[in-house]
Amino acid sequence: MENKNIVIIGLGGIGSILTTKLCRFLNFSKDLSSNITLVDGDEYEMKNYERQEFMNIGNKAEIQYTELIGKFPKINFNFKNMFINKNNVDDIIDENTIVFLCVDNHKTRNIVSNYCKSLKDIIIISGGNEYTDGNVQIYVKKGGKELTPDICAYHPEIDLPLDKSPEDMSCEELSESSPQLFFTNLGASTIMCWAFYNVVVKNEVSISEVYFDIVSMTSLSKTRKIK
Amino acid sequence: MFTREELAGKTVKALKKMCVKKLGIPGMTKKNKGIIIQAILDKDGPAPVKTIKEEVKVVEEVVKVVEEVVKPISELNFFAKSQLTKPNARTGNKFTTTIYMACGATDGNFTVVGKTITESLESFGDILNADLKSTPLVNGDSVSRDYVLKEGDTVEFLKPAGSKG
Repeated sequence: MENKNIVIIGLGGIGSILTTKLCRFLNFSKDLSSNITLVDGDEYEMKNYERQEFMNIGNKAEIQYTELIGKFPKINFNFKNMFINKNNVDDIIDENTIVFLCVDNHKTRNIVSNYCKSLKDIIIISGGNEYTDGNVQIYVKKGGKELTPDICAYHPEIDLPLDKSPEDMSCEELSESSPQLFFTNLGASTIMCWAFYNVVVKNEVSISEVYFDIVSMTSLSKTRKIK
Repeated sequence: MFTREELAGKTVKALKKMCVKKLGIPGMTKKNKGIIIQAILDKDGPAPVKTIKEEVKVVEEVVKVVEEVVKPISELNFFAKSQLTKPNARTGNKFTTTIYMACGATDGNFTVVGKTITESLESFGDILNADLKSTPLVNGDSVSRDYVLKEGDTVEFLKPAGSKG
C-alpha cells in the first residue's frame, strides 16, 4: 500500500470543502494510506458558516482535526495551529509531500512556492478564486526535475506579491474580508481534487493550470512551458 | 422609316428639307414642327413594331455572334502566392483565417490574422474578459504587444490567479 504525505494549508472556503472530499476518497481507497497535516492559524467564526464546512468554533486546524479524525479513521491526522512564514515553512513541508495550498493571499503562495522549488520531490496543488471565477495551479517536481512550471512562473502577482500574509495583517485588516461565493470555493476545491486524482493516482502530469468560471460555466486547462 | 423620336431630334429646317426633297410633301414651309413631324409620319409611316418572335430571333443571332467571339474559360494558367497556407496544428491541413485566443476560462477563434497583439486586445478583449494590460503568450512564449499574429499562432492572455480561498 502506497503511503502519501499530505499537507493542507488553509482551511477556509476552499480548504474546508477540499479536506472533507479528499479524506473521503483517501479513507476508502484500498491502494493508498495517508498522513494528513492540517495547517491554519485562523479561527472559525459564526460568519464563516455560509461557505465553510465545520461544526464548532475555534482554531480551524484543530477543529478540522477533531471532526475528521472520527469520520475517517484510516487516515493519520495531525494539525498545526499556525500561519506559514519563511521561518516555519521547512518545519511543515518535507520531501515527498503533496501540498494543497488553499490560502487567501499571494504572499503565502509565494513563500510555499519558493521553498518547494528547493526540494527534489514535491507536488503543489494550489487553488484560488475571486467572486465567481478562479484557478488551480499544479506544480510537480520529481527527482529534482520540474515537470510543470512553478506557480510563480506565469503569475507575477504571486512572484512579487503586493498583499500581506495573515501574520502581517492587523486585526482590522483580518476582519475585513471581501465577499466570496460558496459555489466558487466549491469549484476550486473540486478541481483541486481532479488535479490530485490525475497527478497522484493516475500519474498523469501535463496540465499545469486550470481556470474556471461559474458564470460562463466553463473550465479550461493549460499546459505551459517550463521557464 | 422614321420614328417620332428620331424626327423630333431633327431641326425644323431639316424636317422641311426632308418634306420637299425626299418625301415630296407640299405646304410645310409655314407649319410648326409638330405638324411637319405628323405629316412625315403619315406619309412615311412609323417604324414597324417587331413581333416577339422577331425580337427573339435578333437576340439569338446576337448570342450566336457573342459565343463565336467569346469562348468559355476552359483553363487558367497563373501563379498565386498566399500567406494563409500554413497548416494549423489544431485543425490539421485545413486552412483557416482565424486564430485561437484564450484568457482564463474563456476562449475562441477570432479573425485577427495580421493584427498586432494590441489591436487584437482592443477588438476582442471584452469578449475574452482580458484586461488591456494582460501579458500575452503566443504559442506559449512571451511576445511584445507589437507582435503581428500569423496563421497557426495560438494566443493566451494571462489571467491573474485568484487571490482568495
